[in-house]
Amino acid sequence: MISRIDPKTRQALQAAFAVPPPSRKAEFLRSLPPLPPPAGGPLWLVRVQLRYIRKRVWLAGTAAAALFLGAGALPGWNADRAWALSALLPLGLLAAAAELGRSAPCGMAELEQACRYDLRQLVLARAWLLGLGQLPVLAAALAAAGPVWGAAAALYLLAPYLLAAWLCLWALGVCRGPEAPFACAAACVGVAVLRTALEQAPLALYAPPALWGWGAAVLLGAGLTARQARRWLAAPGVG
Amino acid sequence: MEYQLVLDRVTKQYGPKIACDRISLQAGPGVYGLLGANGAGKTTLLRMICGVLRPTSGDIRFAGLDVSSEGYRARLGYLPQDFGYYPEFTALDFLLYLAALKGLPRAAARQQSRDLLELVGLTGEAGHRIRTFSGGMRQRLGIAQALLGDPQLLVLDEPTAGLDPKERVRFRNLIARLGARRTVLLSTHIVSDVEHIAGTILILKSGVLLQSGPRDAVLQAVQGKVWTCTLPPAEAEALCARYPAADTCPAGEKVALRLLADACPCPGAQPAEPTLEDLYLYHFSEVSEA
Repeated sequence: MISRIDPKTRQALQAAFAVPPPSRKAEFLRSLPPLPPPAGGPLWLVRVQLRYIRKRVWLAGTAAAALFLGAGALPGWNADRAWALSALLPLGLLAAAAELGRSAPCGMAELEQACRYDLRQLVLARAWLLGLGQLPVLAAALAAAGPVWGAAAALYLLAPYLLAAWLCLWALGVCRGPEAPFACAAACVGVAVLRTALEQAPLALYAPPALWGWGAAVLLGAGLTARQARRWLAAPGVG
Repeated sequence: MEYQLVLDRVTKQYGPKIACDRISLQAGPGVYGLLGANGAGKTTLLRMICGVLRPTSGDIRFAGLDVSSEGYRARLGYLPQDFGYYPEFTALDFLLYLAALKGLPRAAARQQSRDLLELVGLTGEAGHRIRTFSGGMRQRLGIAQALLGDPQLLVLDEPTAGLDPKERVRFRNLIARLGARRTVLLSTHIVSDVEHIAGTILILKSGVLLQSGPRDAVLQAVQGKVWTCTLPPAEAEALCARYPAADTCPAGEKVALRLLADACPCPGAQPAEPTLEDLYLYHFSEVSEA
């Protein structure tokens, strides 16, 4: 019916029945007693989640990291392939992605959305902590590779790890629901395959001048990952 | 200190349909019963208050905090009309999981979870999987999770659904206690729940807040409109077709009626004191709309 009304009449009706602007609303809101701010924010979230991660999850995360990186030390594998395996470490985010996809089918989405923190924030905070838990394993791998590769081994390991982590976080933000774990897996495997493909190309990947490229890749990966993570931690979803 | 929930012309529109139409409300500590038929917009309104739905226009604040802020959500407890569970969760796992989402430190969460399970009578089932629970047990668990973190704003959507009479009385007593220093918003179409618990009654119809106020104030709308009479069955049936009937029961060979009518519906009808059920019928009866 509304669409058949003459535009001038419609405008006149809207003007006549328009809601009046509030008067002294700001003053009224200021007069309300304020609540003390709760301890909160992303750091509080991460701190609180630390105690919620079970011991067996820490163990599983560390064991997975050791397994992947240790595979590089097997006979027949050279260190070049091992570097590519570090891109698979963020596969831990796959488990997180699977968790995110269960909310709606299990009827928990509405309850979770009304909570202080979004489920994605929770999952990211825990993934961050688990990632930090994998650092000792990375350090051990570096110590093992150090005599051969020197400090540059850190760059060779971290670059694909950080790039894969960023792509996983981006994929989880874009793909919701049951496709999310597959998107994460594709991101990790994609980086590992790219890394391996670069090995095959006639590029002097491990020559000293290439270290600048590796350093830039690490910085870029770290910056992108931190930015994506900060977005997730700071912004709960509202329907 | 009194913290107020303030709704300022909150509207939710889905295309041409207006689910909530410029609802404004100011709610301090106390229990507010939101009464309305199915499809009145109760759940939509509550979801907006809980930040699950974004209003088309208007804003919602609690103690000056916007609904989308972390501070608002930190003080909110919500029991949705329907909620599920992860199949592998026990009752305690469920509460700890939600405590993690609410940002509660684990030690405090554990203690609160045990206390709340005791409060709702599920201590013995703490380690049992939720999939083994009855509907009433799940509802009690839902009430427990809404109380995690000692929220200052408690929103309960059809909280007594699935509860047996004893549990409902227990729940009412609990809410009455909680409402003393919290803002509790309770949505239901069970009139007796509202009548027993709510200090302020809000009547919602087709997305519009028709009335709000204490029980005696809202009942003014049907003062002088409630009549009782006893008639033969045929006449009783004819009257029921014309007027909303709040109650019909056999009285020997006749039928005792309680009707809603602007004027005396039949000779011998006596005016009666209105109840909340009469008010509900007055607003939501199909006969009255015809």
